[in-house]
Amino acid sequence: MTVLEVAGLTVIYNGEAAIEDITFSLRRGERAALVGPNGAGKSTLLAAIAGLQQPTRGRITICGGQAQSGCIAYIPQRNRVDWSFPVNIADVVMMGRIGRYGLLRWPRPSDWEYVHQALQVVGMHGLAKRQIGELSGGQQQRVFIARALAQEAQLMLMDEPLTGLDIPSQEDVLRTLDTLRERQVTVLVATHDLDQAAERFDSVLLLNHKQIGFGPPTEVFTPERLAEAYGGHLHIIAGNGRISVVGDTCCGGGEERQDV
Amino acid sequence: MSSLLDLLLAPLSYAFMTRGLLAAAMVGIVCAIVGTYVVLRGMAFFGDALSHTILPGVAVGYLLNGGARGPLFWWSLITAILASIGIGAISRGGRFKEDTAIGIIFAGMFALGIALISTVRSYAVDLSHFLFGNVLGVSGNDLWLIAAFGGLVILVMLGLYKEFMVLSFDPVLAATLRLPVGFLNYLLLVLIAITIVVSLQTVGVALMVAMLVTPAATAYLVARRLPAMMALAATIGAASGIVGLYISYYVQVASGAAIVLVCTAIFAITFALSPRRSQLWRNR
Repeated sequence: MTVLEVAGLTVIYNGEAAIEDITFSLRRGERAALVGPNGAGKSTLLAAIAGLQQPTRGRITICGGQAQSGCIAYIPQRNRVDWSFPVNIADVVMMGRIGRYGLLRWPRPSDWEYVHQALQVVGMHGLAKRQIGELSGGQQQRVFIARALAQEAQLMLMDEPLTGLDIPSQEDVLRTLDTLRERQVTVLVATHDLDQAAERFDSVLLLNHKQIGFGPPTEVFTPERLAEAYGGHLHIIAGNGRISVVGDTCCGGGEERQDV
Repeated sequence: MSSLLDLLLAPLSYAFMTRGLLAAAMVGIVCAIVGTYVVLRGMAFFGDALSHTILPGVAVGYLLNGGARGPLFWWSLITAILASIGIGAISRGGRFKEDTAIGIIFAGMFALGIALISTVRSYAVDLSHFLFGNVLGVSGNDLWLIAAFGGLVILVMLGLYKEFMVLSFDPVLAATLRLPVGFLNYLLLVLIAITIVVSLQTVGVALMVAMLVTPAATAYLVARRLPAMMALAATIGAASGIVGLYISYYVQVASGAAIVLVCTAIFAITFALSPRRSQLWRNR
């Protein structure tokens, strides 16, 4: 079953195309990475799918076309969240349910049941009463994943969820994504880590304003396509049946070596 | 013991003091609850400006109806709601930053108000009531207006509690859940406008922002969840109103200023004692 279908999507900002002619679709339970250099339009694409950004052209079909509230969960970049807001973790997860229990109503016992289950799934049950500012970066991401679960979202969009996390926290988040697969939640993650995209995702969408490739990582991450996406910023070393890629596109010019 | 009781009861023998205390307590509660969102969303400048933009409305009401309180209230209310929607509309286009839009409307409206009032000879006295409040001049009818509109504001805030919370914490979630984000944003501006008009007589335009911001900010230092922050802010607001008015009765200082100074003192003590929100706590 197709959860997300994007056809010929174009978004034009101030006369320039932020993304142009994007066409792909995601199955139920699929885990896809959205990869491309900085400024390639990854955030714009996620915003358009979430309905936060009006497409200039093209069509987006979500959850089989019935536009229900709560089908999509958008997990914001960490620096977009006010971590000193007076809410605890259970409060944040409960926010995912407000579309379900409706206007002028208070949460029912079954809503709390969803919240506790969601926290259990992401392994945060013991911390329900903590204030959100008291968590580590990886835990913060898992709280937002729990909120998407409580929302009963079928499609989860994540904008750079692993950026700025240390390696164990990244592993935590990736393991949590594994449990989402069992629950048939489709995940689309923007990332600049080619290595992780190749190893931990079913499919990748390689983007630099235009769609350069979509499919399994082994088919998309070819030297030609990577060169097309990253241009001169990526140096490709072929040998030993592997392709090594050295890129300097991430995070303010620091060199980063990645094996594909 | 009995002398302390006398100290507390003596002012109540004056009807104007009883009315003033009731008004100050109600205003303290409404301002603090609305102020919770003013603090969390960084709208202090908006609140300050909005209270100033009411001046032309007051002036028109004053020129048309003389000193009558009732019409003055309605003129202020209409002006405040129009100004809040105007600020929302100008900053929404995205051509200016919001504080620029607020600055333009605020100063322009305030100047218009002063120009209108200055056409009346005795304007200095009336202007000072407007600027600094006159809580002891609250009539029985004023009390009913404060109770009715203050109650309405609190009812709406409680009824849309979770919607306003999500909108303030994560506007993107509000949008993906298909909440009416634009409508809720305007509604919050209108609720702030009503609160300001209701509170005008207690502390006046110049000190209004303190009633909105200071009790809520004090509660923010201590509370860990939004309902607790609202309840605590309301308690601090009401207590400041009552204590401030008693102080102004015995020490003979302006009532609005006394109320705000009590608020500020509570904030200062809490800030000094609170481990939370300090840099140490954040970096833990």
